[in-house]
Amino acid sequence: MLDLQGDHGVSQPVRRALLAAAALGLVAPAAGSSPRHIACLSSPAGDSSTMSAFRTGLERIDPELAARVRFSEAFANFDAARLKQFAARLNEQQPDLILCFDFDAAQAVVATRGARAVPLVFRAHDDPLARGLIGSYARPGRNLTGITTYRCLDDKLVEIMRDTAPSARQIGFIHDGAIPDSGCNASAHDYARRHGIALRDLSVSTPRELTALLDRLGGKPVQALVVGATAVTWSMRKQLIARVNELAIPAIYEGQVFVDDGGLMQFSALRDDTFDRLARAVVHVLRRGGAGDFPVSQPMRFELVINMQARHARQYRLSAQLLRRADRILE
Amino acid sequence: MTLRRSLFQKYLSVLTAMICGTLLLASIAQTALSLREQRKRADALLITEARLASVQIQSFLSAIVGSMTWVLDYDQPGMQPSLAEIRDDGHRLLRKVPALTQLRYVGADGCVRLDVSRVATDREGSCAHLPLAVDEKLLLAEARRRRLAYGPVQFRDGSEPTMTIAMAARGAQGGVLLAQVDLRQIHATVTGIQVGSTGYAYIVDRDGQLIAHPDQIQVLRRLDLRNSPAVSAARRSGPARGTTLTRDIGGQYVLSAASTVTGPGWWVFARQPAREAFSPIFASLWLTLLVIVVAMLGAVGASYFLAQRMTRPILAVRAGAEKMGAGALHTRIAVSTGDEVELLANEFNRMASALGDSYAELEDKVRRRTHDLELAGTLLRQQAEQLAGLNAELSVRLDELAIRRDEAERASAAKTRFLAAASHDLLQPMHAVGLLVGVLRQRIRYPEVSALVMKVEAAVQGMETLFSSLLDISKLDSQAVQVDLQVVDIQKLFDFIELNYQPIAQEKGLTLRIVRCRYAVRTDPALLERIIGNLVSNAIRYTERGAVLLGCRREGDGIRLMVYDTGIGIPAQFQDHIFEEFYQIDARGRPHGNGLGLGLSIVRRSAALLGMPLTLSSRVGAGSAFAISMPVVRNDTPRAALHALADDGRNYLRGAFIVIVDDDAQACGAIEELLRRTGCHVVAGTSLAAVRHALDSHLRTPDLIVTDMRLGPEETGLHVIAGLRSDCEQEIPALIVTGETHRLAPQDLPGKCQLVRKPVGPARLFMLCSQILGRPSTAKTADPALPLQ
Repeated sequence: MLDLQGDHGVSQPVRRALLAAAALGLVAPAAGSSPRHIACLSSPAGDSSTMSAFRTGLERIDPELAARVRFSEAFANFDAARLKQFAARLNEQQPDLILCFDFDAAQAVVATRGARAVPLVFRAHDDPLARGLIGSYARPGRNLTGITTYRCLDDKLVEIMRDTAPSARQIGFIHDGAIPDSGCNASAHDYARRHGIALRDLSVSTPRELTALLDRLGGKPVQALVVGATAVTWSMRKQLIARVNELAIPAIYEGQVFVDDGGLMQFSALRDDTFDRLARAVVHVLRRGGAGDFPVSQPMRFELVINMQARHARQYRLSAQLLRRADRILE
Repeated sequence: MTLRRSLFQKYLSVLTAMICGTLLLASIAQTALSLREQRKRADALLITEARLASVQIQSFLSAIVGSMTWVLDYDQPGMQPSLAEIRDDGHRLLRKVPALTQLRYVGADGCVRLDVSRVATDREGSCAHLPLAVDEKLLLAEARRRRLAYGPVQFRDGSEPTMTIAMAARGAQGGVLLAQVDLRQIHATVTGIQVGSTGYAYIVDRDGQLIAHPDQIQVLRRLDLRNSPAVSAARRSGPARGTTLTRDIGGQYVLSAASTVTGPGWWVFARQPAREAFSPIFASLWLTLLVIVVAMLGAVGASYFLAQRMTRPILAVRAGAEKMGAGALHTRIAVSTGDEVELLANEFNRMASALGDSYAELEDKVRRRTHDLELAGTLLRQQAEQLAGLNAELSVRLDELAIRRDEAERASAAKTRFLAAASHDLLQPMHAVGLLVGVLRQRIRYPEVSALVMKVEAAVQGMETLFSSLLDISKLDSQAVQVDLQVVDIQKLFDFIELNYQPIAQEKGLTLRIVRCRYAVRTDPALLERIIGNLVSNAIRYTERGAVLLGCRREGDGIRLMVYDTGIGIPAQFQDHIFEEFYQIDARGRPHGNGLGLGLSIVRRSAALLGMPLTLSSRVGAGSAFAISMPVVRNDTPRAALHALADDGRNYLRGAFIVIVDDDAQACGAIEELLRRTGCHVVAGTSLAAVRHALDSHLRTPDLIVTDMRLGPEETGLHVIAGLRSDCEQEIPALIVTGETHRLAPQDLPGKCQLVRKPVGPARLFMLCSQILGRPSTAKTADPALPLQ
């Protein structure tokens, strides 16, 4: 019979009592109470906020496990060779679990796996099914699972920008052209074409490319900007927002962090439960194993945030319809 | 007496058993009822939880459905709906209701006019641009009929459950709003449903797919619960009025109740661990058990107290009674219970008091009686001394008496021995005299001499009879007669009696009447023949006129043989004496000394030997009746043959070759002479050697051997028979004539041999020889006759 008890079978008071007993040495350490090692791998440079958010989520979901987890971190700084090297080393170290904070890292770990596959949990802003990382969302297989914050929003971002600046006929779209497009970016172009908009492809794959792009952005006839969430834009968001504000170009970003750092508006999946979902997957794999049977969860809620505190925000004369659609307006 | 079990233990055990048993039974009954009621309550509670959860899910959907009406407010009858306004309100709706991910407005023509999405781009267009799937068209049609329709649950990317709700505008020509609902949003609602403290609720769609669960991972796995016991039971029998008890994968029992969500047709299951659901029952059971234990302890204590209270006065009575029984009659039992025990104690006290008085009185009486006894004892001692003197004298007399009795017994034994010894020596010459007289009578030619010889012969016969009777008495007294029990046909006995005594009766002018008797008895035929013969002979002798009657009468299992006569009768004072030896009465009923007077003595001795009661009834002048009783046997029992008296058979002996051996030369010669005169060829001798010598000159084998038993110191008749049979190599018939008193057993005799006792007269000799030789017809003598005594 199906066990529908799940993690809800143990109540919080009981869990606390168990923790207290374990702390006092009243409960003999069992096989499942040994220290656990989680090896973390990221493609970009180190980001303390990400690791901190994950740890917070883990402590909230399973404080007992969180108390005996040891973390090791590795950051490739967008160096693909280094990323592979790290991934291979982690596979050799055989930690209890490898946690990847982006899709490239997960792909590198899978590519360098040996005979004995270390359980892998990933967070990705990509479609893992479309890119062949998992077999299905319900049962990903290959001793890996994770969460994705990805949803094809390229055309939606263009649509929102069109509603924001109805007169704009030249809209630039910053994204990472090195990532194979599964049709998402193409749909944005298609949408723009159907509505008489020239969508300029501003692809950047490295910080250097982005810097160059920002330098030449003023010379291009771009009336609005759509910024996709890529590793480069994510890490260089502040320079990007500063440059956009400097040029007084309305821009919509894909990610809450962009608005937090002064961007005009963003539309993306809610970030609040991302790390909870990630922590739940990690707890499941460490507690019960069977990573391949744990579903890969997708984002459930999306949020349109308009930052009226952004520079030049009031000058853009945002329509009432757009403001009504916004889930949050920061004033 | 040892107590097997004290009264206190009995009271304690009985009271404890009664109280505890009653408590236990009452508790069990109450617990059973309570359990039943509490189980019902637990079921009802879980069902209520399920229904409540169903209401909450219904509320979740109702909020979505209610918000959809905002958009449709732009589609009023008679008005052209504004797509821009619908789009604007659609986006607001998507913002307000996070579960909604897409809204599509379908015009009255069935074409999608507007598609507003949370994550996809908004679209407007014609039917060709925004086609509807088949199931969406069906849903559309259903919404137009019912205004609201719920589509099936579908899993986007095979993991995320979604559902489409279709709502029609109010106007008949209005459009329909299709809303796509992300059912993962129910998670918050489902998680908020608390069933007890650890239970939870989950939802499956109409196909049994899990669509909402507190652990959302289970939903994302797209679990099919159609075959789970709880879901299959609910789907099979509809919303259950009861609950389902199943086991989960951990072996834990869980209780489930189902309720439906109207509209989409989902099932909401409230599920709770049985341990928690039944915790009130367990608590009640523990409480009941505790109460029972406490109550039982109390019952034991109360029983102990009561038993002690009840037995204490009884034990006091018992202790007092023991003291009284031990003689302490001054003891008084102090019990003040006010009940029957106190009355009993008072009775004991009263009895002790009365016993004390009686004891004092008795002691006084004993003292007086003791004094009287001492006086009586003195007198008794004197009488005892006198009695001792008498006893001594009596002992002397008894010793004398014993000496006399011994002398009498010795005299009787001597008499018996004398008669036994003398009989042989007397019978031997008597036998010879009888045979010689018979020879003499055959030779007499002159009538006057013949009359004289006949008188001599009669005198010899009288002597033979006297000797024979004396010999019988002697044998009976010396217990030399051995009873040979055989089955005897009474009628044959009667025939024999009639044959022998009818001539005597006729000679005396009397009628001897024999009544036929069909019974048979087991007895010694010779002794019975002697008894009946003596009685009939005696009756004929003492009857001058009238008749003698012989008959039998059935009496129960036996018969009674009776001999009646119309004789002189026997006076009552002589009836006890007539069975004595040599005792006779005359015609007037007085004793006289004529005759032998031995017949009835032999009758009494023989009857006593056979164990047959002999009775006598007689009246002087009217006659007498003798009766003897015996048991009968079945008619089909083989009978013994009785030798029938016929004529002497001398005519049949003519020509027979007979060998005579007798050491008494006179007797031997007399027998030889008698048999020669009958026409027999006779070879006689006094020993085996003599006859062997005589037979040497004969070629013919003898037909019969007649021999004496005792022939000399070392020779007997048996040697003669064996010797001659050996010489002739044939089993020659033989007749042994002996004067010995001891009886030879039939099995000791050789074959085809008979034994007769002396004296044997000529007539009997002829008859015996004739019978043995089988003449006149040999067929009649195929079976040897019984040995005669």
